[in-house]
Amino acid sequence: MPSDSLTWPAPLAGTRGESPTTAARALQGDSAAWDDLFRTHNRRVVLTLISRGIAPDAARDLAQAAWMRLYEQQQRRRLPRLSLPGLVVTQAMYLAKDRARGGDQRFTHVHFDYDTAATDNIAQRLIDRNRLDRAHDVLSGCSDSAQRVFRAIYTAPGSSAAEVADQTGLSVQRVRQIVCEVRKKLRAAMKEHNDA
Amino acid sequence: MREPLAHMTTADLEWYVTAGVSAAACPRLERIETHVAACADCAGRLVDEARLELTLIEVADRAKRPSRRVPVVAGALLAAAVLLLVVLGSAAARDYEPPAPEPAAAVTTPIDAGVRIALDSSMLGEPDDN
Repeated sequence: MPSDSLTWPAPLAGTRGESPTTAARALQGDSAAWDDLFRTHNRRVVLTLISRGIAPDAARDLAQAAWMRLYEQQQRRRLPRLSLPGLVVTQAMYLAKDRARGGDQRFTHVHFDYDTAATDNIAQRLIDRNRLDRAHDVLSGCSDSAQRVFRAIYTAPGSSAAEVADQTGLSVQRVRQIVCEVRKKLRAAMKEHNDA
Repeated sequence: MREPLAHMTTADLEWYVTAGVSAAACPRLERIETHVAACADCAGRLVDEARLELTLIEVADRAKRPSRRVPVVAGALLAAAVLLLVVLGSAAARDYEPPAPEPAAAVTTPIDAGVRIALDSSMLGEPDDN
């Protein structure tokens, strides 16, 4: 019987799973903290850039350059706070805009159709609320085992199918099948949402 | 530019957004990136898959965050309660008739073990007449 709503375990302290002190340590110049933040957020940064139409290899380069730029800013004590991953995305989009102005063909087709200075929370603004609600509804309508699989995957991103199978008590084959089926449903729902 | 014939499978694109983005260089990663760079169809499908993945991450984040509805409802209830108290308090103040003053009756209030503060009723202000 599907649950009415998705519930995840209580988050680790901090906004995106990292300890609340990680960002503070990074702001103090702790390079291990910067590594932690990179590991936690970089996938989302790259995905956001790809979702903006930037080619995957260019997106990865850009993300790397944006992290470096922020790290340099911190070293010069010009970084008062760290709001992640939005700040890295914003920095990356600035770099992309600069490169597009310089004639770099990899970025000339990108639409810079928002004010990058207005927000450091672009990652969230890119996904409209209706789309999130639609995805939430689709997931809420899935079987309990499917919901358990998705909880396991997105609570600890990067988990292998075997780890998720171990955690949920399902076979690896079943986990893969569930992921495939649920993504298919979501893809169809998102397409419907976009077409509407 | 000549387009490679074999398009990416959905499984390839899923792998790319869930694992490939963070993976070290490997033949599968290279094959996907090379193909996507040359094939507009697959590039478009990858954009959609990346958006789907971001949506899932955000849905998970939203589910993890404590709901804001409870504090909003609690705040509204608190505000209503305060308003009610203010209204009732004003009405009570209007109807209040001050008693005849008693000569310096001491009120003793226990604060914590061994500490007592004596309040002199003559120090209390008179309520408003209106």
